[in-house]
Amino acid sequence: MRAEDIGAKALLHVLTRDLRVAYAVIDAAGTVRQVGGLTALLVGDAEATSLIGEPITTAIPELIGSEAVISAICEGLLPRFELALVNREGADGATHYITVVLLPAHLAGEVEGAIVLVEDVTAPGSVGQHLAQHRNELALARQALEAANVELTRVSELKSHFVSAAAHELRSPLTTIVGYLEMLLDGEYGSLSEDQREALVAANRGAQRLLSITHDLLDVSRIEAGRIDLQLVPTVIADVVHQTVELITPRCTAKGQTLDVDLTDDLPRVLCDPDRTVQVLTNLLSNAVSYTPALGHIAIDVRPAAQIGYLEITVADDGVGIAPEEQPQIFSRFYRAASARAADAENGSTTGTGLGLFISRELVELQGGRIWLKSEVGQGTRVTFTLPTV
Amino acid sequence: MAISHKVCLLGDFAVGKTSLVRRFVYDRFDDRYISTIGVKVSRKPIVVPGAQGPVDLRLMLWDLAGSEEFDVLRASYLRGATGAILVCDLSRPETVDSLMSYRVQLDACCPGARVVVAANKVDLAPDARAQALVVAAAAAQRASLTYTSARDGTGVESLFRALGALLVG
Repeated sequence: MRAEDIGAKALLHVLTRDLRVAYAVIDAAGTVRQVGGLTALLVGDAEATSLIGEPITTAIPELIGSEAVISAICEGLLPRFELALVNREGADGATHYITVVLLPAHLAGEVEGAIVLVEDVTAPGSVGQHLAQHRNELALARQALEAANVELTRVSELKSHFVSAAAHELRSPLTTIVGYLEMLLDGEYGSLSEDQREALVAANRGAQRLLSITHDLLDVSRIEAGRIDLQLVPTVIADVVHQTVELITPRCTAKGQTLDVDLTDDLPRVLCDPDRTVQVLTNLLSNAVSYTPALGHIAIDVRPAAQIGYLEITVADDGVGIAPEEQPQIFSRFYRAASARAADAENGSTTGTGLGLFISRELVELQGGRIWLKSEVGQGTRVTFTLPTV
Repeated sequence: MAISHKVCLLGDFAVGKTSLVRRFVYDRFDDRYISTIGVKVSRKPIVVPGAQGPVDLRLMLWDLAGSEEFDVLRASYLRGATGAILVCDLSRPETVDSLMSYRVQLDACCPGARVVVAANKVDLAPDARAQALVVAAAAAQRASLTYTSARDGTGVESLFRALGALLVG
């Protein structure tokens, strides 16, 4: 053997070992004539020579079905054929990856069969598998989230429709009930005994509360559907405050609470919907009255806000307060603070639905303001909202 | 002597191609989702009725990666296929939408290949849109439709046998 042949063989051996490549030379019929390199990729633990004379598909069954391609390669009609990332299960049960490449074998200028290269690509293949796994799992999670979101939206819309329809249906008969109760209480159907009056007052209180809840539910439906119509007009805030105070004073008086109003004289007008602002202020004052003990103090303070172009309206009380951990949720729908629930339980009544502050926040924000609170359990609560000045 | 047929399983990722092959060849199922990259070839001999009596078939089942990045490699994997199973996931309508693009790719590489459609994961709560779509997709491709569950084996044997019958027909 010539020295250059020995050198070429040694080089091939080193290359195939380090690059983890096996090769086979096949004839035009696809029969293996020669094998070398990392032959374990072709024959496993068997002797490499056992493959000589066998069809190449014995070692690489993945080539079954590609006979026409093999012929085209062997005839020099096709320059290259590759099967990338063929999965193989190893004796250890782990997946190995090989890439199979077929090239025409040129000997003395003539094409006489093909060279089949089998490369072990397990390392990059495993990395690729992990990447594909993560990407696909993320895609599946995204699809599941999207599907869940669609379903939740559908259910939410269904619920909103139901609440809206139910509130609409309840409102008319309740208005009738309240109307007749008030006429009875006004003596339009004759005089009442003390017992009858007490019973009717209780019935009227319950009916009024039901009516208030239906109004709140309708507001929530409108807010969720984006159908709240606001009539924003330049408004003297003092008028709004006085109107609200007038509404709430009888309840304060009944509990022996004091209600202080601090209004600076030269306040600018605000751009707001007066009726909706009365609603917000009524909600805040109603909470203050409900959750401040008898003989407690409630105050309304209106002043220019630190943020230029806004007025700041604050309702403060020295009532039960709200725990710090509950404060972030206090403006959420149907959320009721533990202290409020405890106060209701103590009074044997349920005054709140958990909708008032949610509606108030939405109405304030729709009018271009913002709302926040500061509170301490046992010390009281200060709720402040802003409105833009004209 | 058994006749070899190369059969490719095509469909989006995670529709259950690997699980269908595993159920058919090894009668096993694994709940874990392991993404296939490249191609995994399994063999399974079956006997199907032919015009002149039973025919021995050796199915070479090519389980192809469903991820998009293998779109360019898929043509070389498809070469020489005589049959294909288009697989979708009945709980994911988008996987039904993709079936036609796999069919187009298959027809370009292997005109005349026999095709069946597998509506897999029938054991899960099916998506109504996917159910309607898959019937239309199979009809549009003039392919038989089999509802399968690799998890409990429903329809798996009949799916591969239906394709086997087409291959000898």
